[in-house]
Amino acid sequence: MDSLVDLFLLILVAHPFAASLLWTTHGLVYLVLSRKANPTGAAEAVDYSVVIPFHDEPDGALTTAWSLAGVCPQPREIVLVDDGSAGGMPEDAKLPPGARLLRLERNGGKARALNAALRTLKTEIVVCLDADTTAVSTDWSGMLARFHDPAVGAITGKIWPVRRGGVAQRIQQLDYASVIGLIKAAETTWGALMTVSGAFVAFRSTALRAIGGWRETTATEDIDASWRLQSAGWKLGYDHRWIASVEMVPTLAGLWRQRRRWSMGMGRTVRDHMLSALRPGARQLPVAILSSLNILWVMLTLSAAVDIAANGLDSRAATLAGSTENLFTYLLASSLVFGIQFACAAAIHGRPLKSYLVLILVAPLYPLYFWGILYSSFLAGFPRGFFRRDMGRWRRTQRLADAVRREAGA
Amino acid sequence: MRLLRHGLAIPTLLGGYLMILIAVAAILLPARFQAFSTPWIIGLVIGGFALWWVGCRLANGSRRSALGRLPRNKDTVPIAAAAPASHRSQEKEEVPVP
Repeated sequence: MDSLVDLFLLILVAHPFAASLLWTTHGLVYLVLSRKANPTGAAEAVDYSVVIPFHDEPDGALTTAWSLAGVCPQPREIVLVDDGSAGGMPEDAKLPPGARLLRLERNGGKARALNAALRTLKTEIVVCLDADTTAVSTDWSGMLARFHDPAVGAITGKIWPVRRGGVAQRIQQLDYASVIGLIKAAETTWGALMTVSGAFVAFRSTALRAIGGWRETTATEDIDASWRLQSAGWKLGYDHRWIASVEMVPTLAGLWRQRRRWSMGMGRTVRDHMLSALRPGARQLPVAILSSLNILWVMLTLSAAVDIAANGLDSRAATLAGSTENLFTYLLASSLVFGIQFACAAAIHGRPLKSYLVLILVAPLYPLYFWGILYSSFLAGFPRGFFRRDMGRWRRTQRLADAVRREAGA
Repeated sequence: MRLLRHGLAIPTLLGGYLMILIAVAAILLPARFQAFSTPWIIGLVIGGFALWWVGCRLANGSRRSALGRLPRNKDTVPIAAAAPASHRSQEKEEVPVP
């Protein structure tokens, strides 16, 4: 019993560092291997379609569609799916060449909108973009060439946040730059992804149809589809050269709600698909194991907090933390590990150093962001997703224009 | 064979993680892990990394991840005809893909 408690205390203290080490080292492996492997120049012309679902933001969907004008090769068609928007698409809206509008009368959620589009598409590759996503890369041939590997079911691209001024958006930019992209790169070397980014991803339609399309009763259709695809044996990957920019949530409250929704999706996925990772042929075992350890760590931190609240300095957690010297070592190690992780992520992104200067300034706020937003939203969202059934209907994500309008109104 | 590989992958991945975990704990709490000297810690990190890597390869049943290396010519198939191994075996048994 004591050794089990010791193991839990070990995980409590060292897990964040161990996970960071795994991501960083494998991120470096990704960096080396992806430089060697640069698939371009597909032997055959690749036919693909683009789907842009939206609800109550036709302007954003149009901007996204027009951002594809310079992309090469051009998609066979672009489908804008209006998921029961109150005003619909304006009559005088000018669609880009090759685009068409699919109007759904009732708001049924993003997954339903995507499924409606999938049923009308004939191409083997389907690229999904959110209505706040803008294509930055113009050469998509490298991403498309990856589908020549017959086991590849989806490739997700790199999301680079649109640069804005607010603290909430800066901290998200830091998150994307130093954590999210690096994790996806590392997971690609493991052969499995925790999730594709629903805002910017290319799917093989055969794979999607084989798993019955997107599930319409989940808060996060991308996590759900990722796990079901990998359970069925399809390979998922990340391409850091295929880039899109996405507007970040402008307020901390909006950001908390978004992360709670992601945590709900995670809870639902764990409930529905965690055991399927054990099935031979399923690819997501490494991410399933690390996710389980992450969840265990969250539960252990809660237990430690309760232990300290009940027993004060006599508690086992407080004894483990021990002296001020231990706490100092912990803080120093945190800064060092985060710094190395950030440097590795920056090397993968390959952007000029000056684009990271402001992010380095907001880096000291990251612990506040972690505990105040990520941790608390996980505590609120994960059990809700795990125990309850969500219908997947969406409320439009808050944009900067909404926040400005609200402030003006006040 | 796939069952064996998958079965081996779980302890291998967990073993790799545990080695890295102990190495980190030995750095953070030297008083509790006095037995672990610096060479031990370096060995644990390298060993943990290697075990995790092997576990991933065992779990995936393929040496290739989706890093973008184009398959060799004999593996290259037209995009429209692609399917993972599990689906190809289903087709042989004439089980309809949903």
